[in-house]
Parts: sequence; structure tokens; C-alpha cells
Amino acid sequence: MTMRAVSFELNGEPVAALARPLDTLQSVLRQQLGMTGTKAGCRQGGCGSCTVRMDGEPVLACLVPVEHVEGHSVTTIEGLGSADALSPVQATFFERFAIQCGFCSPGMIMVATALLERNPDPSRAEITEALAGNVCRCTGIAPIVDAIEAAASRIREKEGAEA
Amino acid sequence: MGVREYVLATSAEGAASLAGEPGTVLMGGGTLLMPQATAGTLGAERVVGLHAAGLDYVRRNGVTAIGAMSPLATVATLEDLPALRSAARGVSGWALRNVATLGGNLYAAAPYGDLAPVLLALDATVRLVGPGGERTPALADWLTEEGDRGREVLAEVVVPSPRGVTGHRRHARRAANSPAVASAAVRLVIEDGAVAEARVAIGAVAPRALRAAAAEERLTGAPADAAAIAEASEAAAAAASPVDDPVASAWYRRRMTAVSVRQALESALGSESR
Repeated sequence: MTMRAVSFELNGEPVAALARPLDTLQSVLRQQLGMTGTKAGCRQGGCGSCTVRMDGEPVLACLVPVEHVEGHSVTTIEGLGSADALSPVQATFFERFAIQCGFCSPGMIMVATALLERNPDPSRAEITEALAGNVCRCTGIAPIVDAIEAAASRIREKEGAEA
Repeated sequence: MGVREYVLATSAEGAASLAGEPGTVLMGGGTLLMPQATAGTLGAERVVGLHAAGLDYVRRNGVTAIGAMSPLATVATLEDLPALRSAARGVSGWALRNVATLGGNLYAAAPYGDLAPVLLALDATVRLVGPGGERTPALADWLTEEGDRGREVLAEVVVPSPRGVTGHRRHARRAANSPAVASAAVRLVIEDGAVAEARVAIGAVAPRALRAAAAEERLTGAPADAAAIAEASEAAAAAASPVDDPVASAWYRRRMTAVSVRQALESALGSESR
């Protein structure tokens, strides 16, 4: 079997991993690099719980061979905020009970963060469309949409105050 | 036996030189094959990936040439091809569309493979690279060819500038992230109040997307009035060969084929009556 060394940028830091052919980015993140915030749900591209960002674009880490991230930049939920300093989307998910079991939350938050960078004032329909690939069995989705709306206004207010 | 080697080809020709070898499969974005590789059910020892083969591009030169490795997210931005854009936007969710490719979608078995009906209605051709050179058949011909499709590399899809008006409808159990029950794509050229050319293609209701010849014949040479639309929609439904599956019954898929074709025709003609 041909093992391959793969180097990439993870949450702003250079990392390297030794991959078997077609190891997924998901399994390398979780099992080699300790980034267990990226969840392993369906492992077939159907649930969105493994969503990370590759060069800023949301991708499903269970479908990406880790060989494809060689030389690229990957952001996981661990790259957004910390327990002491939550990102705006993390904070509003927490405040508005948009998290129950929490399994879908990292993927939801990665997609929502990408959405708000592109569209700072999305409609509820635009939020729902962006979240279409992310499944939540607990919340009924509405609190998640509420949290993203609240995060959007919080980010806009903060940027307005800084401007 | 798991995958023992992943080769990242640097050109379509390079991938084609390996494609026909025993135990070897080609892979595009990986949305269809990676779950199998992860589960250990892929059944191939060597995977040849097209990720680095230089096939992610859109070139316009009278026609639109779309590299087979273009993500569906890119296809979903092609505003001059609204029916194709609609089909791409209907696939799964945002993060999957960033990984899934146009080329791979043309290998997806029913009910997946949402783009083929639109590309059939648009008279698309495909550029295939094999060990002995390349060829550019019509998509409609390639889809019905027998034989091993894994021996050639699908490098590019070429879409002519659409003549006439186009429409696309896709029905699923949910508004998004849900496999199609039925879909339809149409293109009509209207001259002097009558249909001079008609394309009616259906998806998710047969092993592969197909053009409904009887529906096209019913439309051609006559005004596209309500009776013509209704009869063409039923003719298209008769051309379907749906199966019962967890998404929908065969009966329901056939009925929704007629509904999809009618709505696609009405959309193309600008009459949104339901």
C-alpha cells in the first residue's frame, strides 16, 4: 500500500499527516490531528455533520480524500472560537438553544459562518437554503435559523460600531 | 480488498492511459465513490482521480465548454444556462455541491443524476478521452451506449448556445437535499406560432435520463397549446420505466413525470398556470 504524506494548513497552523489511499479528510482530522469537533455522522455525504471549510468553501470532509487538501487551507470548528471567546455564530447558537445533542452543530456553524461572510443580512429563506445539506434531528431547525439571524445582526452591529 | 493506491492524474490523457486496467476505477469529485471506499465496498484496488487533471473550467466561445471536474457549485452560477443552473442548484446541499462534479453527475444512477435531462434538452455533446484518442459524441448517444464506460475519461461537456426557450422542473419529497421523484427539462423553438423543434427529457424515472421521442413528436409542427402540452406530458410519462424504491412508488414517479413535463413546458412558454 502506498502511504502518502500530506501537508496543509489547519486553522492557521501547518500540519502534516500520513495517509492511506483515500483516507478521508474527516478521519485524518479526527484520528490523527485530534480535531474531534468535526463529526462523523453518515460518512456518505448525507448529513452535513462533517462540514469544514477548504480555502473558505464549505465541503463535506467525509467525501474529500485527504490527498486533495495538500497545500490548501482547512478550517474546522476548533478554528472559530474557544470556550472563553466564542465566535458570534457559536455564541448565538448557545444563547438561543440552537443546540440540543450538539452533533450537527459544528457543521451547522461552519456553514452559517461561511454564509454570513458572503451575505451579511440573509433572509430566513436564504439561511434555510444554505443549511439544506445539514440535518438536525433535535431542534426542528427553527432555533438554528433564529440563531443565525441573531448572529448576522450582531456581526453587523459590531462592524457598524467599528466603522 | 481495500483501495491500495490512489493516483492523482495530471491530465485526462494520463488518466485514460490507466483507466482500462484491471481493478482500476476512475473518480471525479468522489461523492459517489468515497462512501464506498470508506465502507470498504468499492471493489477496486486502484483509484485514478481526476482532481488534478486540469478539468475544472468554463470556457465560452459561441458554445459553453464545461470541464468535467467543474463543481456543481460552479454550474449553479451559469446564469446564461438557467435550466442547467436550476438542475445544479437542486442537488443536495451547498457543501456537497462544492465537491460533486458535473462529470460525476453524468455517471450517477437513477434517481440521482439531475443534470443529464437538462443537458439532453440542450443537445450537449461530451468529449471523451480514451487510450487511443478522443471522440465527441452527442450526450444522447453516449448515454445509450453499451459497454464499459470506465475505459474512457469524460473530459468535457459542450453546451451549444440554447436555441429557443427552456424549462426545468424537479419534484422531490422535500424542497432540498432530497432525491428526485421525477424531473423534466424541455427546449422549444417556436416559429410562426408553432413548435419548430422540441426537446423533452426526463430524469429519475428510468435507469438513465432519456429523451421522450413521442412527446417531442406530439409537440413539433403544432401550436404549443394546452392540449398539446397535456398530451406530450402523458407521452413522456409513458416513456418512463420507473421502479418502486424508498423515495417513491413507480406509480407516483410516472404520474410526477407527466406533472414535471407539463410544468417545464409551461415554464418555458412563460405561462405559470398550474
